[in-house]
Amino acid sequence: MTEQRKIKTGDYVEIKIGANPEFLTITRSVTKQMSQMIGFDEKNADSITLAVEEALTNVIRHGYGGPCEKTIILRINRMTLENCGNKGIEIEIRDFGKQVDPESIQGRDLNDVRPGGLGVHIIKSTMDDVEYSPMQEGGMQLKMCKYIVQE
Amino acid sequence: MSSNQIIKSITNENHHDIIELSGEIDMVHSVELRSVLLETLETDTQAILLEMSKVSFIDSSGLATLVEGLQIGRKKNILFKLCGLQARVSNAFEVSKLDTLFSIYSTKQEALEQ
Repeated sequence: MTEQRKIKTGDYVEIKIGANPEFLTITRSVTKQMSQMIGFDEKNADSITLAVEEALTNVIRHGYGGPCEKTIILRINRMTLENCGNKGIEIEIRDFGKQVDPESIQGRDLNDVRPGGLGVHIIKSTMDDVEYSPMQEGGMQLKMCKYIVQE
Repeated sequence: MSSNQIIKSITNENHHDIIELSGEIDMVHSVELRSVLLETLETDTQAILLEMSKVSFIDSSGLATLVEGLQIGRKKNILFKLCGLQARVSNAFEVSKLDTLFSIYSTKQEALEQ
């Protein structure tokens, strides 16, 4: 998937929210609707919504150290892959919190049954591409993509 | 919206404490769930059944709360069951590979009979 050039169609939704978990009900609704508009079935739209939820709660909890008035930007792009024409979704989440080494962001071993640490696993197992980047201006950006597999 | 309580009722039937949940179990609401679960696990209950047919969403905060409840229950010999999961909630258990860890039943009746 990653070798193919992704083309953003220009269709997108962008939401700027404060780092308050009460707003996540809004981002859930928008993410699911946009996923379905792009063509994902209900199950995949739910999985994408869950991945976005986990990414946003990680920003609030770890990037910002808890709910606060700082900003998170969620941008959802409709996209296609150049060679095969498969449709997909690209999600960008930008925060202005603590920077971390992307290599250190790992999901936990699911055989290790304990509360916590599930979020990154959910993101990586749900999405086709996941890339965390520290930004020059501060904060982090997460880009994650998922494609509709043509039968 | 998020200010709604997710615990709708707590009843007892067939030696089970049945906690009926409703709404979205996310970072905000898992705090309330955790508090009620820990309180119930402190009683002399034999089994806890979470009736989840009105739960429309659960994230890893909610799942982690359930894992914690399950683990405490195992230490205290308290059965910990779930029933009535909607497809969206069931999907979250599958993605997290927690679906095999819990005793999950289709209906309340089925859960009470096991």
